[in-house]
Amino acid sequence: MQIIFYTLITLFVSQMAWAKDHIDVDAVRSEFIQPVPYPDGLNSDKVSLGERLFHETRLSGDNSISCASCHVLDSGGVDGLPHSFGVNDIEGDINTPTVFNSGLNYSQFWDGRAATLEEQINGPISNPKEMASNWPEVISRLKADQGYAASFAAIYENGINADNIRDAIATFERSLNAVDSRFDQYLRGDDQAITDDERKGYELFKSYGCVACHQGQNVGGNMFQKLGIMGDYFADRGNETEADLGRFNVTRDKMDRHVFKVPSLRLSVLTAPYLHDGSAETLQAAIEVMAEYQLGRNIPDQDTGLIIKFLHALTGSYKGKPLHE
Amino acid sequence: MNKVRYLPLAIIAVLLSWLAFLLYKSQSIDTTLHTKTVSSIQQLNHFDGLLNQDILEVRYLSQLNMDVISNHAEQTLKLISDMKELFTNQSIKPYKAFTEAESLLTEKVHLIEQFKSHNGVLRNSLRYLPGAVDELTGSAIHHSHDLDKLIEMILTYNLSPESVVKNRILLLLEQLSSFEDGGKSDAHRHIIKHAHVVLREHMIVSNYLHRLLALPTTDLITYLYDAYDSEYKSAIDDAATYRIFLFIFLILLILYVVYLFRQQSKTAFELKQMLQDLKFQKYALDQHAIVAIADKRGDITYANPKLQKISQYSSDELVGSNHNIVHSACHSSEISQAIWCTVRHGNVWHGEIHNKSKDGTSYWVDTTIVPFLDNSGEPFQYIAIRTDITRMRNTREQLRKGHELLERVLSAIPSILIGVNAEGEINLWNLAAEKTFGIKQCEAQGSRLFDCHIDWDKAEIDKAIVVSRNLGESKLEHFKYKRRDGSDGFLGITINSIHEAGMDAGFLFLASDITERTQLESQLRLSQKMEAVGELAAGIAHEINTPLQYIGDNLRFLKNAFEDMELLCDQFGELKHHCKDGGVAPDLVAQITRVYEKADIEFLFGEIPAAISQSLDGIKRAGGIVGAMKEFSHPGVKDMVLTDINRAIESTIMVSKNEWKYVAEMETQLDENLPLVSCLPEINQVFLNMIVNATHAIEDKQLDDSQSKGAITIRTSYTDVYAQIEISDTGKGMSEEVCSKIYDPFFTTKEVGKGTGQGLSISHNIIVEQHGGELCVDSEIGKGTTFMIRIPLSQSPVENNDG
Repeated sequence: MQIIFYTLITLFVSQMAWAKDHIDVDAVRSEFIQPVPYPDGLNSDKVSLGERLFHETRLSGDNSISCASCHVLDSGGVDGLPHSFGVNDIEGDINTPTVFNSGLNYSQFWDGRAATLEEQINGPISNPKEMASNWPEVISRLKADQGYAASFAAIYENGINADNIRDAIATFERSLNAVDSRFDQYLRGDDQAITDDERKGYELFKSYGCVACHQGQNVGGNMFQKLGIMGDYFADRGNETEADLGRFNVTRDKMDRHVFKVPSLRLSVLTAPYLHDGSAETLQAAIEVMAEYQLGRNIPDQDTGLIIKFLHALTGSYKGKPLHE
Repeated sequence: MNKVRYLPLAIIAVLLSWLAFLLYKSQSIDTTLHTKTVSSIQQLNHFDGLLNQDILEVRYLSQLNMDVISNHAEQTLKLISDMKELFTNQSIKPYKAFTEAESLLTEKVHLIEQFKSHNGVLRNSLRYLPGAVDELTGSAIHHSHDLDKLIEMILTYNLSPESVVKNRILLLLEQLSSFEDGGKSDAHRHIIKHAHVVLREHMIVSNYLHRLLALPTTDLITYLYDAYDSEYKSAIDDAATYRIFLFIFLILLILYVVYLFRQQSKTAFELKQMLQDLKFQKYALDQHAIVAIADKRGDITYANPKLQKISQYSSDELVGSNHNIVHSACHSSEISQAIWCTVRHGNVWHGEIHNKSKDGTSYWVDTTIVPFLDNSGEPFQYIAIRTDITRMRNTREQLRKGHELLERVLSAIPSILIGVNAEGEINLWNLAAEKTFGIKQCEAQGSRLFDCHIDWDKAEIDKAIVVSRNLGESKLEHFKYKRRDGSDGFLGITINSIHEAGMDAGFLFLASDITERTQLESQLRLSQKMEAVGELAAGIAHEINTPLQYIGDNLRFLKNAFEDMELLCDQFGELKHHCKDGGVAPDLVAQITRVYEKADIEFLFGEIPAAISQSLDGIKRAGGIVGAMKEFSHPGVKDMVLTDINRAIESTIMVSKNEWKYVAEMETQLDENLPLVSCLPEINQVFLNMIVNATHAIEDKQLDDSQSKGAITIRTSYTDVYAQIEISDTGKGMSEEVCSKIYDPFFTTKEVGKGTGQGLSISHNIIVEQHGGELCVDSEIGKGTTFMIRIPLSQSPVENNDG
């Protein structure tokens, strides 16, 4: 028995080793930031069905809004408001993060309460300040539509149900990777893809310590961090809300008070305003908040400018079209 | 039968299910599942190792790309969730060990998240401090030495976090803080802050790191593996045990199958035997009966030799043709339809059919058609078993005709004929019995003789039956019974016992209603008596009449003679007087006077004429009676003669005077102008009966309330059509019930010996039957009775149907 066990272990380790070699073959620069992967192995029917559903206002209680109402695909996957507005123009509690590259996040929502995109979808559907609906309602409305019934039946054995709706939307969202940014091209070996200023910005991004949190493929989205390590952000800002408690609302661990998911900076140049409360209207302002409360140091405006230039290089393309255009 | 048949199947099914169970149990080691489980545990172990590696890389190799560790953490959690499903769904035994591992690894992932955050902060501060200090030192401030020292100590602390170093750092930081108050430099403030952060975060990060590395995940996973492995081994052992059972069961099953096979061959042998028997039975059936088998359309598939013989068709001709080939056309299509309908619905048809053979001769067959049903209950073939009953039918027909004849004879004979079988039940009850007793044949048949509602002396009959049993026959003459109308009747009964093969087989009860005969006999006897009395009376009257004649003549002579003698005596008295006065022969005169006185001549002359005229009167009356007697008896007259009813009444009153004269006053209101009526002499008897009955009625009333004499009134009158005689009495009267019965023969209200019960019956007969007249009665109890007789004036002589 033991022999089999060890043989399997050996086999596994060798497989992992091979996988590592494989990555090396791609010859990507060994940096803390990695290129956004190309969406791969997605069922195109599901993607197109998911896209329809993403724009489907019948998902909301009063047929007024769809996913795309807040995650506007033409403007970086956000609506550009500090807080979004749900049905009946009710204002939400938190800033809308971009839907682009959301498949690269290791958890969803600012407080990371959903582990997957599928789980995330439940949130806005039932949130009374967002779509204010429920699954039975949504399912019955979609079933009334011959087109949906046929599309679902073609893909799913059991037709229209909550799982399949979630699967279709999540599959579509996984296709929303903003790939081939200039920085990614640089990472893949094209030295000319970014400007010197941008490269300088990247160096500053690393040396100031931004990279300690904003790293990986999505330049964020893979860890949590407290907002206000070096100072009390919420005391200074005032008006602390329940949403400001962040991950504490999920874990009820006092260590998680004011802890938020580190947001992706991939489309940061398109997704103002910034921070979970949407309080920073510009990247400049956001970086200033970060320098004071997260890094505990001053960043000269010149450096900030360079960092912002670097951030511009992170924006990729969707369906072959650069998102910043 | 079915139960027995399905028992082996049930046993085999049970054995097979056991076998399947054992097979399942012996094969219950799901190798795929096992491989999957083992590989899951190994992967878990692997991921645990990778996470540990990642943690160390993050902490000590400054790996900042958290995608790697996040990816591993995510995969670990996914693996755990998959394993949870696996362990729950497949109910793998060491579930508790798994849940422990699950919670431990979940905690590990959670700790890693915290570790990542704090490690980033620590890393940033550590990276920041040297540069910041360099920058500050470059600007040449007075306490640059302290700052350098601080950096040195912090780096030392980072590598070897001893509390001594920490305390010194804290001390130095306190000093620097006081400087800072003077320096007011942002950089200065940041350095102190970051130094504090390093101290704080280093402790936190170290703490998390220790907790993470101290988590006994490897031990638990090994434990999980061991627990699973031991379960697996015991499952293998179990499977081996079940395999042994499986083997044993297999042997049992084989043995049972062998046993069944032997049983089967035995059954097959028996079946063969039965088949043989069946063949014999078929042979026997073919010998006896006409057998044909037809398919469901009715086409003959088999015809036995007897059928061929009787139908005169060959087997080849019959087989394949419809069974209608043997049917004669004399059956209506309805009967054919009915037969088809019966058998097609799976029912057996039984009946007699008229068939015809090839040459046209017909024959009758008693037929039974049995449909053979398939599993769905639909007939797939029919077998027709027939017996030639042509002769039997002919015989039966003859028998029926004979029986009908007998029936007709039985209903034609006027005598009552009742047959009773050995059980005492009536099996014969002819029309005469029906009419006499008013009991229908259908009611009487089957019931007992004494259960029939006949009012008679059962004991007497019973006695007669017993006698007939002993002697073979017994008779009852003038046996009295109540007729249907409630009147008394008489039967003449003969009971013949029947013996069959020496055994008593009931009796035959033969009877005639002899009521009419008895009545006639009785009346005949009475009228003969009357006739004899009449003749005698006429003779006596004639004999008496002669002496009466000359007694009368002599008396009249004596009367005349005495009148002459009286004249003579008167003259002789005068003579005596003269003699005495004259004194002539006084002696003689004295003697004569003495004789005169002795003879009391005066008295004699006074009484003798009276005596003579009294005697004459008596003779006259005696003559009247004798005349009436002659009148009444009409000796020798047999036919109708014109009769003076008034005279007839008067003579009857005279004759019967002795009957009524002490009881009643007789009053007659006879119509002088009543014409002569053509009557039989018996009419006198009617009047006599009426007068006698009236007298008896009055007598009975007098007995009851000792009144004075009653009255009998006889009135005659007439119309154009009839003469009417009314006879009224003031007797006790009759009730309506009695009135309705008075003409019944033998009915009487009088005590035994006084009446025969025939009087009114005969009177009725005479008036109604012989004269065509009417006889009515009007009676009221206590007041009296009036009989009214009407006799037609013009008597048609034909109506005299005396009989």
